[in-house]
Amino acid sequence: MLLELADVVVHYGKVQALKGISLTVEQGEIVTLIGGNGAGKSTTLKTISGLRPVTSGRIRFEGKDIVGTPAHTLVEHGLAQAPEGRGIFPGMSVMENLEMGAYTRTKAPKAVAADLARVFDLFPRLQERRKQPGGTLSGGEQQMLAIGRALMTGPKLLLLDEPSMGLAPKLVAQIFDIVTEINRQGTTILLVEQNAAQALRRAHRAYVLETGRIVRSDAAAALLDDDSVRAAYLGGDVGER
Amino acid sequence: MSLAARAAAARRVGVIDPVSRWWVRQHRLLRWAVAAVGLLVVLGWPLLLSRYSQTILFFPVAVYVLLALGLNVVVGSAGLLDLGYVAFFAVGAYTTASLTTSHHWATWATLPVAVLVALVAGVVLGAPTLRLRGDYLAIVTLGFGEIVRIVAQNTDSLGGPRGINNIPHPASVGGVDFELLPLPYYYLALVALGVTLFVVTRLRDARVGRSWAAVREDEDAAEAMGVHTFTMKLWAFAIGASVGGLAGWLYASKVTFINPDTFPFTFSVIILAAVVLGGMGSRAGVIAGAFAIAALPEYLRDAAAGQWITDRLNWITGGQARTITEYRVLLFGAALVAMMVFRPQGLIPSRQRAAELVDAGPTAGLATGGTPDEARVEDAVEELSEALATRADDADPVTDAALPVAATAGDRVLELREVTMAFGGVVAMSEVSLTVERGQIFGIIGPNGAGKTTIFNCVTGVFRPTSGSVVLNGRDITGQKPHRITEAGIARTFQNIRLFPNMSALGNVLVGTDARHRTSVPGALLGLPRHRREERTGRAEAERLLEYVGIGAHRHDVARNLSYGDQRRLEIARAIATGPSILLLDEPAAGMNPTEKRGLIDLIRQIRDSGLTVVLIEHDMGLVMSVCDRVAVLDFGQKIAEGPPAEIQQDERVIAAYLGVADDAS
Amino acid sequence: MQHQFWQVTIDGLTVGSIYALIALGYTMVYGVLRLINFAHSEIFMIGVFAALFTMHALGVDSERTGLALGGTLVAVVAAAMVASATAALVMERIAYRPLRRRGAPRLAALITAIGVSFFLQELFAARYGRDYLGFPRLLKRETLFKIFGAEVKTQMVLVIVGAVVLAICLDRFVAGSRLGRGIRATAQDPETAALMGVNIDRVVMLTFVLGGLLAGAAGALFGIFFELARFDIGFLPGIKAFTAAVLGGIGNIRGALIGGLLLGLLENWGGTVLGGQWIDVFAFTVLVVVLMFRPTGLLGEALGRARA
Repeated sequence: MLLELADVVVHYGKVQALKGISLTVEQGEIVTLIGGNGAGKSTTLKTISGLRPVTSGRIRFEGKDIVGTPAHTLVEHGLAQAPEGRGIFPGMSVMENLEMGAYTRTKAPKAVAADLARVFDLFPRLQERRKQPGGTLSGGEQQMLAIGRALMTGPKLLLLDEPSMGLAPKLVAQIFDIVTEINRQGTTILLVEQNAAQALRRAHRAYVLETGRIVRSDAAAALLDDDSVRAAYLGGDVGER
Repeated sequence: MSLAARAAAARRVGVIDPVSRWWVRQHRLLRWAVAAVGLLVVLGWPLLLSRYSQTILFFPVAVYVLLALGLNVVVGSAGLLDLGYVAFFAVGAYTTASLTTSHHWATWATLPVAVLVALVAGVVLGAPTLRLRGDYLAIVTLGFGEIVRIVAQNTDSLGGPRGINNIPHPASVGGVDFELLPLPYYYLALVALGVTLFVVTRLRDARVGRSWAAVREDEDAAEAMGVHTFTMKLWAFAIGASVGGLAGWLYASKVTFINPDTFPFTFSVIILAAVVLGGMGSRAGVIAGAFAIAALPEYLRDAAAGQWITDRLNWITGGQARTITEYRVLLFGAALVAMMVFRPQGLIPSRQRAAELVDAGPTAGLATGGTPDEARVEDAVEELSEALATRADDADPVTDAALPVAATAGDRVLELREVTMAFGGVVAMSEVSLTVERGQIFGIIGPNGAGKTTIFNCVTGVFRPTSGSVVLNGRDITGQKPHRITEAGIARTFQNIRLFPNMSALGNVLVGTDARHRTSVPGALLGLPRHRREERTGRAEAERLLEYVGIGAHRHDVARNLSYGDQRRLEIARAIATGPSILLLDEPAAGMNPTEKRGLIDLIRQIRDSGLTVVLIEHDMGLVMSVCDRVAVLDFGQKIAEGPPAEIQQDERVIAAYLGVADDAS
Repeated sequence: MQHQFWQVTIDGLTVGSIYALIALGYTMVYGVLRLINFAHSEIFMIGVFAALFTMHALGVDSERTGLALGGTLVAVVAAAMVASATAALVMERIAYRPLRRRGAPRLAALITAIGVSFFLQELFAARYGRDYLGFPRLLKRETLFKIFGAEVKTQMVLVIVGAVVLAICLDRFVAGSRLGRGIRATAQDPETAALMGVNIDRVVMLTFVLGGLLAGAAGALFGIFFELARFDIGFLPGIKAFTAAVLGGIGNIRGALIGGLLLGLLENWGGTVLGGQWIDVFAFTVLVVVLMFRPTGLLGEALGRARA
């Protein structure tokens, strides 16, 4: 087991945001978390990557308890996140943004160079625009940069927070193709998505979050066919397609 | 009054410090007794003191307390850091000195002028600077304080560096002589304090005070609820400045000579220290803080303990101070840091300010991912349906017609005509036209980032559209300020809930009702009939609205402690309270579970049936389709479809854009 | 007349260079923490004192020349830089970090900063008295050359060149080095920076240290130029430097440099027209006008955004 959350509770002030989340991610999987806005998906990811303090519960990464480990240390352990809203450093060039991904890897220049080649291979657009400031990229390019930058950390587990947000359908499909490809190359992925249809189609397993609790978990394909899930998250009311 | 009733009365005030809370809860006889003893001590005790101590009691003690109360209006109530407060003290003192010596005015006659000139100085400084960010404001006020001092220093008619001497004492009044003896001035200062306390207390519990609290907590949300944030801040500045001017008059008339060095920057910081030490926003705290800061060094100067501390400090710093007064500012500086680090709310805190200062933390965004407590939600839903049932049965005040709906003319409530909003080169919405008719529930859907919230922000004046126009009830409101638009009849909620987190639920809704009120500072001070009427009806209406949205039981709870679903409801109540003709709801179902969503659907329908037009941004398709009369679909800032839900569900482009699966047919 | 104009201009550039060096500290801290480090003026003051004491320690009692001068200058400036940087570091740890941890509102941080400022001033007042302390003359004051009849003296050249060189070094460091990238990333988006492995606490410390180093250098140059030290000597240069930072665009390194030089020029020109006693009023007025009409300053805000 690569990642394991057991009964994780998180508070914002006095309001409970996560009410006991338990989930697992196995080596080599794509696991997706779906649910409505405000269900606690992003909070779950931020908690895993050390940005939100845990009230109670355990988080194990490669068997080690990582609760309380600061975010910047977790990166070195192999946890990378492409944050919601992409988090591109707008004043930095594409190349500098990618270099930020390799910020902690000062002792492995060769591996970094190899990863850079891999990122440019996955996203040729980024190579074309490597001197352009991140803030001037289009939404799709920014998302590519966010994922590419996360890959530059040399991750064992890649956390993706709504990679489809604000993207045109064509681009969404393209981004998900690349996500699938990254997984095929051997990186485990935990994916949070609003676009449940796409996420369920790409993932191996899925969890459904509702108001800070996991209400369903199953193989992604099974949830995709489930009527109640369709109704709630796939716009089931919007007629049958 | 029963204990419970008194406790309730205490809570009704909304913002209350523990001393006042204790006070209100005591038996009336006890309160009288305490007040009598207190008054006796304040009035009688100085008679027993030495003349030297009496002098101290006037200056610094009484003057500091007065100044601290004045600065507290600015820093504590309005949350504006003023680092040049001493300037107003100086303006008051110089006005008095100049008029009495150069123009031979009677000292008493200069009193109103000194206060007025200081007030004008406050407005003159505030008008150009109050739109600045808080930390910039601090530096600008500091600069202003220095400017006043430098001007005095370089103006010959104000005596230049030597200042003004021989300021006449006030003439005797009713046999009381104001000469060299300190005691009459002390009592005069007590009168000034009484007046100031009356003013700040009156305002705190009025529309003005609530506005200040709202501005402090979330300026944008306050603006959106119709608070004239700028005017209210200016009032705070002006009132603070007048108190400063009053203190300046007192000082000048007692001490009879002033010069630029009487008003150093240090003075401003000492008064700030008094406010911070006592507790920003808490009257009792501020008085105690100023008393301590003024009296302690004087007391310790000759005391053995003071000598002991001085020796230790000399040893630490290598200095050769003889008395502790030389370490005064050093200790105050250290105290400021220590207070902010260990007890930012002050020694006798105001409850609301304490909550704001102690743990803002990541909760500042109050709602991100928060979730409600199931049981309470069930309760709320039950309560709501009960409330609705009762309403149908008898002529309870909570009737549908009781909603404060603004009068509307014509069928088109809101129109967007080819509105475009571009940020730099990025076009967030492009030539969007919409027409919302009266009594509709109008849905706006689209993927994240499609520009839905941008529409709301353009309509409510947060953004000024790049081109196109927004028309409300036939009136063009494009580009008006948010509070004007709220007054014109548009109310909104926010995607990421922006309540005033440390105010009670009732307080939040009261800020909403205040949008329809007119009472400003003079009305509240004089207790004019309109003020009393507005307070009464506003409160009754706020309570009704809380019942209406189903959280009446939580009216005295602090907003941040409400469950997620209740916070959403409270936000709706606050918006309706402004008396809109149209209500904009930004993702009201976000973070709700199915039970809560059902409750919400009922509530939205109920609101529509009460005569309000509703525009709804939502992600939850089920909710949109079941509640909306008409739906517009946005994608990449463009409207790609509009029609009744049934039609929208069949639209190919909608399915493609919204579900994002068209080119990946499985 | 023309000769006077150029003299005033050179004087303005000299003071402006000192403002610029101090302004860099405000700008760095503001860029990363969105905090006006009000006590930065005392970091500068500590640099002035450190320079004075280093001169005493090195036995400077008369003008030096050649290698001795060079060595002494380096020692004095370096000592001031170290002293100021240390003070800045301690200040961050004791006063600001606890607030940062708690996510305290800006008002609290600002009040803390004012407390620290007064504490430090009074500490120095208690220890070294409330009167001006004079500096020994280290540098022979001679006219190096003339521009349009205005005399350019050794100490002016030292101050201007020293300030510009240090500002360029800082700009290069922040723009080009790995740590500099960490600083810029934190300034632009601290949460994402942490996700990239940037230790925010360390970046904040580094920022305070860099600001302290430059304020220390400014203090040493100020001491050599004006030859005066007192507990409150940082107050006015501090506020002026803040004005300079706002003028150039707070959070913007090049803006601070340009803002400093420009403010030095403006207030000296203004002082010539209005009379020297109004110089400070003029500078404050510039601050208010800039904040009202162009609050983002000449070059715009945000650390590192101006380059990229």
